[in-house]
Amino acid sequence: MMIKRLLLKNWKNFSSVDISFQSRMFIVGPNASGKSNFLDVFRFLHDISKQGGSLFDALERRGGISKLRCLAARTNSQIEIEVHIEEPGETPVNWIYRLGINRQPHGKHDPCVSYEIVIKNGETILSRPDVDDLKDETLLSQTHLEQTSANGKFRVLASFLSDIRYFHIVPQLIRHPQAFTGPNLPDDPYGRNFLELLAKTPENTRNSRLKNIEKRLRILVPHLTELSFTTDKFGIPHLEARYEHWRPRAGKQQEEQFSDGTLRLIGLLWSLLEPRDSPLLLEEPELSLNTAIVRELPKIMYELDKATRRKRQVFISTHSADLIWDKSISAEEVIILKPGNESSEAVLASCNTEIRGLLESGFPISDIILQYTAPESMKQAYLEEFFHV
Amino acid sequence: MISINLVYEDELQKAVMLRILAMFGEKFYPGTFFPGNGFGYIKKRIHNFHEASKIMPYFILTDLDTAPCAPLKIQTWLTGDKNPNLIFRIAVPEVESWVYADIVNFPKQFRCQYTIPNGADATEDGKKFLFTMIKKTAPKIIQEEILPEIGTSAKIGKGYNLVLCNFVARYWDPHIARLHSKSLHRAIVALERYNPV
Repeated sequence: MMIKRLLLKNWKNFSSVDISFQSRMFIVGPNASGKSNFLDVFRFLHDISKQGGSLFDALERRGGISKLRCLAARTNSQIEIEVHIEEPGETPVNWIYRLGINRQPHGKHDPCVSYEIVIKNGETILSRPDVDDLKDETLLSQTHLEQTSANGKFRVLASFLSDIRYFHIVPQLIRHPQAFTGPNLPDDPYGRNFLELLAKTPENTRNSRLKNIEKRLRILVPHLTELSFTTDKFGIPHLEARYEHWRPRAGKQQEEQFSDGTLRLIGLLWSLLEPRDSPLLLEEPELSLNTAIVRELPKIMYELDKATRRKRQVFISTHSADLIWDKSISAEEVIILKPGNESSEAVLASCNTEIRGLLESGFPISDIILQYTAPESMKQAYLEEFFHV
Repeated sequence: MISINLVYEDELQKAVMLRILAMFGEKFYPGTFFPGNGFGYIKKRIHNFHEASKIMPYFILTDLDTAPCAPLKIQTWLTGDKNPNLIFRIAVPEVESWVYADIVNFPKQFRCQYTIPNGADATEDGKKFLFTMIKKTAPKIIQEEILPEIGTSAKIGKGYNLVLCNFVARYWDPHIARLHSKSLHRAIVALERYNPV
């Protein structure tokens, strides 16, 4: 399944978005343009629909409705999310899920569902508020998406959204999980319990994935061999590998000695090998990696997607021109975020006339995008200096 | 106002291009910046920029360096008819010579002495001329900013871009400099005459 289109109103720093997606999307933009906020809408839908999740929790985790609402929202302060999802098959199914969130007009002004609509192949199968909601407004504190008893007609949609995975491994957390106190974050997005996740994976699956990862790592980190999983005498899980170098009998090293880049790559490859059908959200996968490796990533992602025999949609936020260096990347796969005074804009690179012109003139997309995502503030500084404006 | 994209090899060229555009008041407005980090990028992409200039004007600046003359370099890089929206100019011998062609403000700000009796374009190597003159006549504090550190492979001093770009923005007078650099004068004339097609 795949998200084909996203429409947003008043979502964080986006007052309005309407954008179509391919199976692989790169999100580029200057710092603080909203790359993480853009990805967060998918995480939000995941937080509502996952097992034990709810609209209330999803809002709480983000500091409440006031933190979610776009600053530019004035007259219409409702948050609106609309996703168009395609379910492939002999007879493909087109789903549309629409959710409006607002505060209750009276009482404690708690957040509530202002509308919730599910459309399957053009037919509306859920439309709220319905008769029950009108009788008992408390029902509007929950979505039907989060309720197993209510989402029977669109369970496939709920499962798809609940299976969305966000990934942004912090190598220090894998290496020294004990140094970071406090409760674990739901879904472990930063990889603190990555080794435990490995331990919980059935042995055969784990070994086959690690073998697959090692094969790719051999090209990227040539000295690393025999990547394996082990537990120490206290039962604590570890990753270990041998580093081949001038010493013929080099000892094995554990994750503590792995470089940041190696750990991030292992985590990245592992997440790509997970057999899921829902989108994978990757935040700046280029971090700690050498340019040459970064350029290889799109190819590796494609290769692994083929290896898992799934067409998993990937959303990747990046600051790296090298990540979009691969000539197979099209302007339809690149979303450019541009910060404005009150809200950010999200547009496909293919919709920008100037960028289209440059592409038609033979420029590779990686050459162009960086110039179009340079912070406006830098240009403003030049204008002030030279043009006194 | 004409929005014009800028293509250049280095920071000093960018500063000089912006200063020249600013001479024309409200005629030009800098569009997108395309930094090249050396001439290789511009040479490789010149035909693409030429093609792109059919949609939007481009101002491209590169140094002559060791090429025998500017028109020949343009012809070698860009064969065939040139689109008028592509303002492709060459600094002879380098953009540095356009900067020290301002024989009033440059010596005053950098407290150095030099003469260019045959004009700045006649100096053989712009950067070398600048380094030699700074080394011989400028105070140590300025030398430390501009000259590459001895014993290292650095091509310029750590403060080179900062100091020279600041000078271009604040003190450099292209009206004086064009009197002592023909290639700069021709570039300014090209911009004066330019009207988008």
